[in-house]
Amino acid sequence: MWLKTLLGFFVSLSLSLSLMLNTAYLLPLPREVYLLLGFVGGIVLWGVIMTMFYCASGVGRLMWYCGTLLVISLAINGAFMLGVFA
Amino acid sequence: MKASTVRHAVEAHGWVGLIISVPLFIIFWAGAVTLFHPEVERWSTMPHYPLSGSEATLPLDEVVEDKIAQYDFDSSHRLRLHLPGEHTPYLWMELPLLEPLPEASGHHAQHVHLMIDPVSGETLSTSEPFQLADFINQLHFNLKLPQGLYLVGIVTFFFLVLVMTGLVIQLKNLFKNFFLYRNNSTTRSQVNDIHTVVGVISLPYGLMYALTGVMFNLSIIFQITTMITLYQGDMQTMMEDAGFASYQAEMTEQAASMPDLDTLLQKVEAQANTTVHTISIQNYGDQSALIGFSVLENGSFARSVDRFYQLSTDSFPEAMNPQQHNLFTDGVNMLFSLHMANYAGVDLRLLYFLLAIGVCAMIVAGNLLWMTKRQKQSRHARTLAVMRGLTLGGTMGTITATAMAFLLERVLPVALTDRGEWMMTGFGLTLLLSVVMAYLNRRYLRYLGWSCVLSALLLLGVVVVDSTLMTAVIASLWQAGFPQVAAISLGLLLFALLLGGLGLLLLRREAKQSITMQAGHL
Repeated sequence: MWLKTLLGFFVSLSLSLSLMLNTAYLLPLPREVYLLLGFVGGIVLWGVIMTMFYCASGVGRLMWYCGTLLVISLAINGAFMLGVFA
Repeated sequence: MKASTVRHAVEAHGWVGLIISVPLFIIFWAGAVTLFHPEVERWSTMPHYPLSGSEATLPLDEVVEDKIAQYDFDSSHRLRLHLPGEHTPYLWMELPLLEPLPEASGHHAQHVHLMIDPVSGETLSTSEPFQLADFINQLHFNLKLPQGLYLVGIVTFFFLVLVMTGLVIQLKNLFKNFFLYRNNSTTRSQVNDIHTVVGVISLPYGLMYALTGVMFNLSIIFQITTMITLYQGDMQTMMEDAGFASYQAEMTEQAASMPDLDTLLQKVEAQANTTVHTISIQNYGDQSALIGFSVLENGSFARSVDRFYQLSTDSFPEAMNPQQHNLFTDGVNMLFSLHMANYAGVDLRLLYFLLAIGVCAMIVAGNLLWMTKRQKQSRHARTLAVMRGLTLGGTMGTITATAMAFLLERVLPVALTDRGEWMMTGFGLTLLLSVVMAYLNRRYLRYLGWSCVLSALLLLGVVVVDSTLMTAVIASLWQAGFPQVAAISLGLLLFALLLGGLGLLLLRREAKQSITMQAGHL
């Protein structure tokens, strides 16, 4: 359970932060709207992913799914930050 | 839902629940009490410093000038005035000082906090002797621990996960067994039903609290990420986008006479139908002085705004006072108000209170379920005793410790140095003693029963003091328009009776169980 908790906590946090950042780059939202959406949505998403970790039989498969999604999401954020899509 | 998913959710629900049960209980318990923060503060303070209830208050300028003249005032820092209103009947002034006051005076900071009678302008107290309401509020927000804000944030996040895993477990039976309570079943089934029924009924409430709790305590994670990525480290712009702009005025060292605060206040209130609750003044007496008014919009749910007056231009500059509302600020203020119930009257806050107490009962019931299951296995007796001490002692002990804090708040002499510290020490020692007692006491029903009875006796002690030594002043306060003091005493009496009744019920049940067990042995 400790492994699930520690892995789940940090992976779900990173993933939710990164996915919310994707919405800021990909959706044409005013900044104040994004700030509220990212704040509330990010926390809900964090909780949902953490719950998925706890409900899974093992962490291996979930880690693979989350890891893949995180890499894609980070790549999109990185591209925007480096100005590739500017 | 797959059976294995539910099984894993049950495992995680129990495991996480047990680990966070004590801090979560303290957070919810203190949160339930702090819903009545203004009333508890009045109950603590007003019998010692009664007010007449007259509406003819002194001009603010007169009070400010008088107090500034009495202290070594530092005009380069903010002077704050918390105006009398729904939250407090007194005028509070936070005065920055050039030199900190000596420790013997009871102040260790660069500010002095003055509690002022708004009618006479007299300083009633400078030492903040009544700290019960603030202490309970701090317990709720940060458990009164260093870095407690983040600890509470993490605990609240796991509470959010508990709500979600609970939903996974109960999803199939959410409507079918909505109010299922098997009165004639075993104790274990009854405890299980209490846990489930309260959990299901308080689901929206629990979800709102979990979400807003994480938002307020762990917002720093989201702020830092957003600032670094979207704003390239520009904190000022991010705060402006979020509607939390702050303005710093540079001192010009040119003396200037200050405007009439009451006239400005009336102007702000009339402009947008608002009520001012706090005034902050930067660079008092300087040409660059800036006066901020924190206001609540009348008639709106929880819209709070700041208005700034600039002395050099004798105006409320548009750049500092945008007309358009900020969605983020409005949203966060709304969620904050939902969390604190500060928009609500006493009736709705009572409902919040009952739900919070329900969640507390749910936590204790969850612990009991775990305890009875492990007790039957009869293994690891020492570990079980430690867990019993920490969980049952930590949760029930918080109730007894709160009752002790109320009693100390009422009976400690007002002039006692570090009065607040004594009250908090009393709370801490009672909690510690409760944990030790729970560790030593194997029969948890007896422990719970006696804890309830002891808490009830402590609260009855408070009521006895109120109804004997303080009757006259409480009655005169009621007549002067401050019924909150008597209402809190009455609330404490009701709670004492409820706790006492519950304690006796538990002790009777425990005695019945013992007789049954002895008969079984024979």
